[in-house]
Amino acid sequence: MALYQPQHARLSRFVQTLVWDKEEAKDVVSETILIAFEQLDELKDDTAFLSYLFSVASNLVNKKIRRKKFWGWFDGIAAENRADNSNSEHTLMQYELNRALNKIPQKQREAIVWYEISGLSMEEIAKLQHLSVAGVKTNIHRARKTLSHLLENKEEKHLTQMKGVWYE
Amino acid sequence: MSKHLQNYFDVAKQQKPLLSEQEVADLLNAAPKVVVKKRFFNLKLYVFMSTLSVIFTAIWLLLNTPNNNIVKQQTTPSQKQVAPTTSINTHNLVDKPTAQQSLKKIETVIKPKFTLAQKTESNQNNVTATNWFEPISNNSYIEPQETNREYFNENGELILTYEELAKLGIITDGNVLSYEITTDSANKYRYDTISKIQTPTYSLKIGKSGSSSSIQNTVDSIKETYFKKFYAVAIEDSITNKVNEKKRLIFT
Repeated sequence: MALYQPQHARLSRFVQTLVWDKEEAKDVVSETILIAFEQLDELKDDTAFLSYLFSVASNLVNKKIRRKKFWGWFDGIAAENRADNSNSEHTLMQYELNRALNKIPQKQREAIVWYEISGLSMEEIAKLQHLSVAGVKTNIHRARKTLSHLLENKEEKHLTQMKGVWYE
Repeated sequence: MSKHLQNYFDVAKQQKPLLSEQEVADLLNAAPKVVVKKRFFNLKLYVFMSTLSVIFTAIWLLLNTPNNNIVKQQTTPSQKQVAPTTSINTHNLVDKPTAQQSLKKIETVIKPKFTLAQKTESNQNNVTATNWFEPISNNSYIEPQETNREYFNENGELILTYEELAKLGIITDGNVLSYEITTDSANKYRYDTISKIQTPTYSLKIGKSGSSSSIQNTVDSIKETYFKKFYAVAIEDSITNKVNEKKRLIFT
């Protein structure tokens, strides 16, 4: 437990950012913890635990995202409604970020969330993704660029809708 | 990085953990301790074993393939054995015109010829005294070889003796029923041994004969009960390659 405690908030933020549904996010966190603790005896040091924990979480999150993409046709409307009905501006921003993150490649997505939101170092991410630090930097840079483009366009679109002007 | 994007990240950082530390502790305490049983047979082992068995089977098949060039049959003279010891070189026989011709002859529809004199002789010998409706034997019955006998006439038709007809159940109550012998198994296939090539199967079809109802009933009962098959075997001499030298009838 002492090994896990420092990673709890990081893990939770990573999962929450990428999995929009709260119940599903809870499931992913629980499952990750259980899987990680099953293998705890076989892990050699703290770094190995961190890598293992986030690898498991990454696999589970990607599984959820793939499933969501497949079934998105059916529950996409429900997700939109939930976001629109929410009064909290923060919740809306989180939703938009989640949607934008789901549109970028997996490596870039994980790299930027781990770096910017979970607070992992470049070296830790490089180890997790089996890449060089330079590769991670590139991924993060590309992710930022794409996200900026996606989120700014979204805001413009939102504003035009509010004004009653429709730009395609 | 734009400030706009930074705002999004800041909001995401403010998210509270979904599970409290107490909940995590409870989760770990309540987690069932899974004991993974190590099975003796796993997938890798299955694949390995099946590959190994395929290799062994292939080797075994390769080693046990018979030599097709020279087939040696060893038989001792016995009532139940068909072919005498014969060494047959099938490799040379494939293109032999004599073998081909003899096959064609045997494949033809055969109507055995029996004369009125034979019929009369049968009546005189009280053939009907034997109950020919009983099966001759559960085992195969091999007609003793008659070296001087001509089993086929010049037209390639099988000639049966009167006694043989009786054994086949054709003669009943002193009457000879009309019958027809047809070839069941056409010799379409070429086997390793010549004896198989020249072993067509004949079926006996007993037709309607006579005017009285009793005969008709008898015919029906024969049809239902005794459907006999027999074989005509010709053994080729390996030296002379003559086919019609030795022939036997086998009743089953």
